[in-house]
Amino acid sequence: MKDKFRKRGDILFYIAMVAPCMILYLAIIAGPILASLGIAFTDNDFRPNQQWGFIGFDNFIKIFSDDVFWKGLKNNMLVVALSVFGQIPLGLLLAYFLFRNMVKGSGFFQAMVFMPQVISTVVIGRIFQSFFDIRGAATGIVRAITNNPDFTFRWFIEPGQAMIPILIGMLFIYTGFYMLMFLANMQKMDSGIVEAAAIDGANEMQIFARIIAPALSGIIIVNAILAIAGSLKSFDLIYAMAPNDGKGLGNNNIVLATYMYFRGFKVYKMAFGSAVSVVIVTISLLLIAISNWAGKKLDPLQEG
Amino acid sequence: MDKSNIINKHTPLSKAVVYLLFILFVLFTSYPLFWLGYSSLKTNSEIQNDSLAFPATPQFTNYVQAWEVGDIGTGYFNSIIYLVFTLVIVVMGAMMASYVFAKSPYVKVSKVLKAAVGLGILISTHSVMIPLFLMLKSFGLTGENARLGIILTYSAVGMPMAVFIATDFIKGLPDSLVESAQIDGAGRFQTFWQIILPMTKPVMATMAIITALGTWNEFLLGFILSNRFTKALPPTIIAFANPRTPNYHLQMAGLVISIVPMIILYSIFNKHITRGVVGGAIKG
Repeated sequence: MKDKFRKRGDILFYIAMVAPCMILYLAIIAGPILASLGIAFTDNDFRPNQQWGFIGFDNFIKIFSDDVFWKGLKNNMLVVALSVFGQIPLGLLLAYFLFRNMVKGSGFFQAMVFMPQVISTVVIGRIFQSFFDIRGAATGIVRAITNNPDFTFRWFIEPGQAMIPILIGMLFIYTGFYMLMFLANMQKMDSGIVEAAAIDGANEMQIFARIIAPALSGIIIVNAILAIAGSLKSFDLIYAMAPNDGKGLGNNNIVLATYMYFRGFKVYKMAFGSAVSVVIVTISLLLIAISNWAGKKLDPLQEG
Repeated sequence: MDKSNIINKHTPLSKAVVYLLFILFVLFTSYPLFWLGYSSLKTNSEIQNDSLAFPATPQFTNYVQAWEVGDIGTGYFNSIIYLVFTLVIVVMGAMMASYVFAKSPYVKVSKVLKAAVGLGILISTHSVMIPLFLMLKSFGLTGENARLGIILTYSAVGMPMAVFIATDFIKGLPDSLVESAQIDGAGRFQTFWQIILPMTKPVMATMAIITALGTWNEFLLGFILSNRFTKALPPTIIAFANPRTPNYHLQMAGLVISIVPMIILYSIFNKHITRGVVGGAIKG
């Protein structure tokens, strides 16, 4: 079989089969990432007839001495922390409740918790914003309950509260995804162990902490990596809730992706924006490598 | 799995906490939509005066106006075009590559290529934004002529995940399938087309669901590449439903128009959709 395979036709076949996928990937993902690495070290903004040259690390120095960048990084780390310490544990817990049949109508709950996944995030952001807006239902409800006709949510006005609606929104949007991932993995487990433990008198806390959580540790790590990667991509919800130009309140809920958009793309500073994207990719690769390494340490059975 | 013989002993308190948590989530996802639904039938002054009241008389013309003012038809038209072409390209491209990644004798090359493509799952696609925009602009594939550029972009973005899911699946198919087909004299393409593809229907469905959700809801890349004629649905809605313009009743109607088809599809196919999304993300 093997020598039969080693024919020119096989190589051509192989190339033909991978070509559509690889060409698209190289041209649209890998190539541009490498290109931005190059552009980042120039002052080429691709304006017509622009003079440009290599300027070394100047763009990066500008980024690292910009307070708004550090604010964006801090906010982004908040989003990472929320997804790793909020969405994943909550998703795990909800999955466990469903797995152990602790609620009636689990199919309905499952569907409702997952629902935000199918709606465009920018649209959710707009709905969420109008809901908490001065003309929104949340304001109306609080006013009716507290009998205070002047109450308004200050989230979209007060600088210090700018990240609150975003974090709440993200918690509700993405928890459903992790819940389903964990649930599907729990259902693949051998149910005999859980039953035996229950018969032996283990309570739910013990079953969860001693059997389910350890068995899922590999999946938890995989999800943490996905969550970190996803957190650094977060743009849509924030853009939809703060459709400004990155000035004023925009700086208070800025994250790295919106920083790149407002400070680079929107003002046509392409070289600076490319440098920001290089920083983002570097940070995400670093975080992914760390969690991957931690995952292998914690779970030697998991295969790469 | 038979769950009836699992012993369930739960205190009323813990039960209440569990229910409370789920009800909180359901309220959060459904109440804003319910509120949006009836608010979209109010007049603008009704919205301004009392945010909680129901409409005195439902203003169904809001939808007609929003459709026209927001140019939502264009958004739907473009989104459907992007979805259909992206689905075809991603499913076919990923199946072809996955087949040789899983079954060809060039194991080492395949490993390298697959790992390279796999990075695309983790790396933020936003980081390609600037060079991609400049490149497509220099080819004249932005603005009015953005359609081809957007389809290719969405296809490339959807490809990595699809390749990963499909390669794992095809690896699970027995090698003897390929061998016996070739002993019977089937050509290489024929083996792929007539033997392998029909067996991969479940994984193609999974891929299609994940790609469709990603494509339909993608915002940033489509937003920067398109103009008002080539805009997909999410950028159309964002441009229209802007808190700084005062036609709130139309904006709410526009938001409703943009999500109702998805909610209907989800309520019919939610089992398939959730299984597809989860199936794609689970290893092995």
